[in-house]
Amino acid sequence: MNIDLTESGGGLVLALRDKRLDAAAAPAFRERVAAAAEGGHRLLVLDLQHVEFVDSSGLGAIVSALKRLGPGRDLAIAGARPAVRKLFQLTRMDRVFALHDDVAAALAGGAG
Amino acid sequence: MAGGAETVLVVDDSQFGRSLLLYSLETLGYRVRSAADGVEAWEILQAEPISLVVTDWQMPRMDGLELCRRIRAGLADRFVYVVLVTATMDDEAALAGLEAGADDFLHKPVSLPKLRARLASGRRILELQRTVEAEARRVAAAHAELSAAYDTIERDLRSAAGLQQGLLPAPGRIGRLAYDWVFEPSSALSGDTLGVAGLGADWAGFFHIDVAGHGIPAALTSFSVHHLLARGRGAVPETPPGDPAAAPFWLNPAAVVAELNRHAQSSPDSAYFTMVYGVVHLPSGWTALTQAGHPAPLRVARGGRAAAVGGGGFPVGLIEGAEYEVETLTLAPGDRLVLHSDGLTECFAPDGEPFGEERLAALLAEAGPLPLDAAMAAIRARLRDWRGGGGYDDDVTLLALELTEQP
Repeated sequence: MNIDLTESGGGLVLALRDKRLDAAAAPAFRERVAAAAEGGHRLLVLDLQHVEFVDSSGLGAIVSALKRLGPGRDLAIAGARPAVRKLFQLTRMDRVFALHDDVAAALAGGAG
Repeated sequence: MAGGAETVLVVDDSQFGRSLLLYSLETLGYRVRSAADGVEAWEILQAEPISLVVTDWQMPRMDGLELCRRIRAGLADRFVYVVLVTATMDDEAALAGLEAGADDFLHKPVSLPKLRARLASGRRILELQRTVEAEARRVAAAHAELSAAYDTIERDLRSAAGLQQGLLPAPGRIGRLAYDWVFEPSSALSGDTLGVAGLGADWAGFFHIDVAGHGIPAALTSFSVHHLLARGRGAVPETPPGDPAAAPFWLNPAAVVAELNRHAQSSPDSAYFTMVYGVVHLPSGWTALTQAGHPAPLRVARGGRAAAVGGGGFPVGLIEGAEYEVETLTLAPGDRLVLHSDGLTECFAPDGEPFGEERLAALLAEAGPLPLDAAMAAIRARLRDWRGGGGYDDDVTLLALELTEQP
């Protein structure tokens, strides 16, 4: 699981470099995000612009990352492609996460 | 002493030669057995676990060379280090000795330092050999244990897969509602499950579940949910179709799914799942369903197109206190309602192209005129073709319901 971390204006951007966030990638993703969350940033932005496919295990890993952050901290999604956006809509996760077109919008919009 | 408890077999036809070697070896701390020729030595080696042999070459009945050959050919259970004692040492003799299987040579007269050096070298090799053998035995034992464990797991998985298939309803009908399914698990155990059951005289309930992930944890969750849903059978009073919120529990899909969500929250380690739960009023075809993160059910009108029903919903076990919506529709005679898991639309062809919803909708419309069982066979065949051989990455399952004419 390749994830680039960039700090920006109090937020931490996690850019996924792999094309799939599926059952095979989910455990490593969980670990990386848990480690990144240790930094204590109020806002984590998950940059999904390179991700073509998220399956149910991947979605579960994203939601558990949000739960891990706890109250007062948030996880926003940036750059989700249509197929990924559709999965968020089908599972109503678009009501749980703020979906932004890109990282800049996610950082500006905060938790949405 | 260097000799320790190692036993050396001394083989010499001369009483004097044997005594000399015996004395020297005992001085070096070895225990000694002796034999007067190769025949006697071979009998001792077959009966006793001796691994060091010092043998004369020239002997009656069986000479040292033949004894070497016997040892190499006949003692498979252990390595024996053989020192051949020779009167002369030319290249030809050395070659013959090595070819017969001797490990080292001693020239007569045998001196104590030379004997000590040869045997010390022999012991080093024996020690190495024993370490290798012990390691090989350890590896073999570990391997046997592993394959026994693997066989047990394989057997258990096969029997669990059998139990899981046994949960599925035999294709058939409940009143006017005919049903059939496609169930192709990715591994032996599936995270998908489905069911259809009568709820009192006028109603039938149905569900299709896809637990996140695969294998044993997903299968255990799917078993457990199947069990929870099976409690509804028969326990429903007569109720006309109408507002689901006012209906008895098992006829209110949003309540059933919310209850499963509550139940899933109480066991934080369980996998979450997506599902559709619905009920059909058999006399009228009136149907209510809740879609919890599951792909939208497809309604296939008789001889017509397939159209998606509903817009989505929270998966079960992911968000605490999630509220669920109910979608209602009325099936006309000949209409089908088809539920599927994303393993079907995300079934990838060898070139990476997913089967997709449009293809599924077209396939269902095309299979519309076929009886249900033939339609299921056509779907199975099309998906296998699409996959192009090999197993499925994800469970590929589908439940088809058809409202038939009045019975």
